[in-house]
Amino acid sequence: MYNSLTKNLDTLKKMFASSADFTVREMNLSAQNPVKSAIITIEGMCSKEVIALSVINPLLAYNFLKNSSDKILDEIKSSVLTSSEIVEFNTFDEAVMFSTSGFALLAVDGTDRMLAIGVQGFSFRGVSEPESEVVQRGSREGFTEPLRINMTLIRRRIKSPDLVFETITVGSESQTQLMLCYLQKSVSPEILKKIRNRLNSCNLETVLASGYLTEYLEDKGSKSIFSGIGISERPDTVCGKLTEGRVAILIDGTPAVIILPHLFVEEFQSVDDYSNRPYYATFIRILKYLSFFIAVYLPGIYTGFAQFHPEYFPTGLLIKTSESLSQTPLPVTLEVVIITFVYEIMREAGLRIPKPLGHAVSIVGALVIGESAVSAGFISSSTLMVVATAAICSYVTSPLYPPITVLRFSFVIVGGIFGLWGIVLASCVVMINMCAKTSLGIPYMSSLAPFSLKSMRDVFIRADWKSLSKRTIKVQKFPETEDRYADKN
Amino acid sequence: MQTKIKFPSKRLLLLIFLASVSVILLESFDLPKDTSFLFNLLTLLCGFSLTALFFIPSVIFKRRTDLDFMSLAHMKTPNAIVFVSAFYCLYFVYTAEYFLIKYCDMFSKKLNSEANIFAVDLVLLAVCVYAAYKGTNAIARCSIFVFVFSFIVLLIIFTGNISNIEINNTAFSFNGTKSDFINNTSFFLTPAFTAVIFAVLSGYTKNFRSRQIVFSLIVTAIIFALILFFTVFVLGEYAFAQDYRCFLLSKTTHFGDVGGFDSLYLSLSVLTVFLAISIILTCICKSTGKSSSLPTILVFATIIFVLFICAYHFNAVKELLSNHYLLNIFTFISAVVIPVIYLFAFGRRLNA
Repeated sequence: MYNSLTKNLDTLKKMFASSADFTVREMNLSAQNPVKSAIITIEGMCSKEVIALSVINPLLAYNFLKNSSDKILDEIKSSVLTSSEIVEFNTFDEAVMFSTSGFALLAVDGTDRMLAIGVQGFSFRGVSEPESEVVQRGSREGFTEPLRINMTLIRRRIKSPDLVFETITVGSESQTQLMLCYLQKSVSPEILKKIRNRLNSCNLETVLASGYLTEYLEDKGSKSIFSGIGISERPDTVCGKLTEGRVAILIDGTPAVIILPHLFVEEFQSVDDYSNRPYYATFIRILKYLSFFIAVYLPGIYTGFAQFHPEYFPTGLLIKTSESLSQTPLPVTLEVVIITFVYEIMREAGLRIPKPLGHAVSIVGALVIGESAVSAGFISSSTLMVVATAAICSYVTSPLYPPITVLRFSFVIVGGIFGLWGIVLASCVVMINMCAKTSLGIPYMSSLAPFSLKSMRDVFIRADWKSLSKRTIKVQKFPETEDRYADKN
Repeated sequence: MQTKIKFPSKRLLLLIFLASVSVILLESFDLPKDTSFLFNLLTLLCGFSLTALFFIPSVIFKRRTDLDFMSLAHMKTPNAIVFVSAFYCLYFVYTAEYFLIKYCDMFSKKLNSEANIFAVDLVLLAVCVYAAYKGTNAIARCSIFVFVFSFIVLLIIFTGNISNIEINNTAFSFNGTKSDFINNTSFFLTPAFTAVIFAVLSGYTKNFRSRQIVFSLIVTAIIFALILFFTVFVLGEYAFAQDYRCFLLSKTTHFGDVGGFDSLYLSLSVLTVFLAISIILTCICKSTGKSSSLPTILVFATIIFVLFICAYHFNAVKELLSNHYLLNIFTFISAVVIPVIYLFAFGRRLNA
C-alpha cells in the first residue's frame, strides 16, 4: 500500500472497476494538523447504523494529540473504535478480501497500513429447519449461508476448547472461505493433512457450493456412483460426526457442510435413531435397509422374472401379472423404463415448479399416468405398482437417491436383456466397486466389509446408550485403517 | 489397485471356502450307482484329508516368513522364476477354464439351452476381469456378502428338503469297489485348488493361524456331506442318473406351497463362480509378479476366452479342460511338488 490516501483510494477504485457498490466516506480527523482519512465499504455488506455509531462518531469526536499518521492509526485501533473486531493489514489483496467480507476499511493519509473493522450487516436467511433432513424429535436448527453463524451453531453444541476452526480460502476469483472443523484430540493428524492438501490442490476459479469440492476430496482411483463425501445441513449431525474423529468443512455461502470420511452405513443413520427407543430405532434401521434393496432391485427383478423366468412368480401372481401384461403393447422392459423415466420427469418438475402450481403437477401425474394410461392399455397396473413401490422406497434413504436411481435403471435394462443372471452379475460389479472404494483411505463399506463386530452396535441395530457410550469408535480405528492412521498422539 | 495394507487371513479363507462351494454347486460327477451313502462319505473324508495335506507346504512358508510361496520364489530364484511363473499361470488358466466350462454347461443344460454360451462366458469373464483389477482385498471384502447370501440359500435348500427325506437302511451299508473309491476321492479332491490360491495370495494377509484352514475345510466338508446326504435320501435313485444335483435339490425345496427356489441356486452359483474366477485371475497376476495389472489380466482373460471357444468347438479340448483327474494332478504339482522342492532347497535359510 501507499502512504498517500489518494493513491490508495485510486488503486482500490481501479481494482473494483469503479463498481457502483464501492463507497468511500472521507473525513478529517481532529488533530494538531487535520489528517485526512476515509472509510471504504461495499454497500449492502456493512451495517450503516453500526458504522455510524461505532466508527464514524467516535472518530469525529476524538481529539488526536499525536502528529504522526502511524501513531494516529495505532491510537484509533487501541483507544477510539468500539468495534469488537479490528484487523490491521497493509496489502491491497487483503483490502479486497476484507471489504468483500463485510468489513469496513479505515485508511489514514500518511500511513501504508489500514484497519479492517468488523461491522457486517449483510442480509441472510435465518436459522430454520433444513428441508432435506427433517426429523421428528431432534433440533429444528439448520445451517445457513454465513460461515460465522454456522460456526456458532457448532460451538454452542460442543463447548470444548478441543473444537478447532481452521480457515482455508479456495477459488481464485470467488476467494471463498472454508472452515475446517475438528476436535483436536479425536481427529487423526494424517486425515487432516490429507484434507488440507486436497483443498489446497483445488484450482477452481469459483466455489459456490459444496459440490464443487467433492471431486477434489474423493480418493483417486475410487470412482463410484456412491459418494465418499457426506453432506449435512444439521448442526447436531455434524457435531456427532466430529466426536467420531471426522472433519467437517463449512463453506461460506452454502448451508451444506461436508463431512469426511463418509461411509456407506452412515446413509442409514439419522438423528432420530438416537432420540427414539432402541427397539424402534432398530426397526426403522432395518426398514431403511430393506427399502434400499426394494428401491434398487424390485423393478429389475420384476422385469427379469416377467421376461425370462415367469415360473418364479407364485401361481396366483403369475396369472394376474401375465393377464395385465398381455393387454399392453410394449415389452415389459420398455414399459418399466418408460414409467420410471416419466416418474423422474415428474419428480424433477415437482422440484423446480413454483409452489402454487405444485398441486397441478400432482393431479396431472395421478390422472394421466395413474388412471388414464392404465385404462387406455398403454401400461399395465402391475408394472405401475412395482415402479411406484420402488419410488416410495427410494425416499426412505433420500441421501442415496442419486445412486438408487442410476442402479434402478441399470438393473431394469440388465434384467430385461439378461434376466436374473444378468442382475446377479451386475450386483457383483456394484459390490466390487463399493468394496474397493475408500474415503480418505478408509474402506467405504467399513463395519460391513471389512467386518467389525464392535461397530455392529450401531449398524443394523441401535444399541442402547449405555452400550454406545462405553467407547466412541473413532473413524481412524476401523479395521484396515489403523495401520494407515496409527494414532501418534 | 491392490493396496499395501494387509487384511486378515480369515477373509482369504472365507473367499477360498466360497470358491470351494462353487465346486459343490457345479458338481456333475456321476456317483457310482451301487455305492452306499457311508462309502461316499468315507471317500469325501479322504478327499478332504488329502486337500488339507496340500496346504501344508504353503502354511510352512507363511508361518516361517509371513510371505506367500510365490513372493518367496520371486525373491529366492530370480532366474528360474520365469519357468515357475509360467507353470503357475498355465495352472490357473486351466483351473479358470475348468470352472467356466462347468458353469456354462450347467447354464445351458439346466437354465437356458437357447442362450449363446459364448456371450455368457464373455460377460462373466468381463465382470471377473473388473473384479481382479480392483484387487484381492476388494474381492475378499465382497466374499463377506456372498457368504451371508450362501448361508441363507443353503439353509433354505436344506430345511426346505427336510420333509422330503426318506431314509432307507441299505444306504448305511458299506459297499463299493476300489476303482469307485479312487474315482470318488479324486472328485472330492477338486477343492484342493484352493491350496494353490493360498500359496500365491497368503502374503497379502495377516494374523494367520493354521486352525483357520482346518476350520474352513471342515465346514466345506460338512456342506459337501449334507449335499451328499440330501442327494441320497431326497433324490434317491433319481440322483444317480442326473447331474447338477444341487440344482435338483433347489427345485425340490418347498415350504408348504411355496417353491421355486432354484432362482436362489442360480444366483449363488453365479456369485461363487464369479469369486472363484476373479481370485484365479488375481493369482495369475501375482504369479507374473505384477499386482492387479489390467493389461496382464486382459491378456490372460483373452487367452481363457479363446480356449473356451476352442473347447466348445473341439470335444477333445473340452474333455481335456474339464477333466478333474488332470486338475488334481496339476494341483498336486502346484501345491505340493514345487513348494516342497523350494522347501528342501531353501528351508534352512527361511526366517520370519
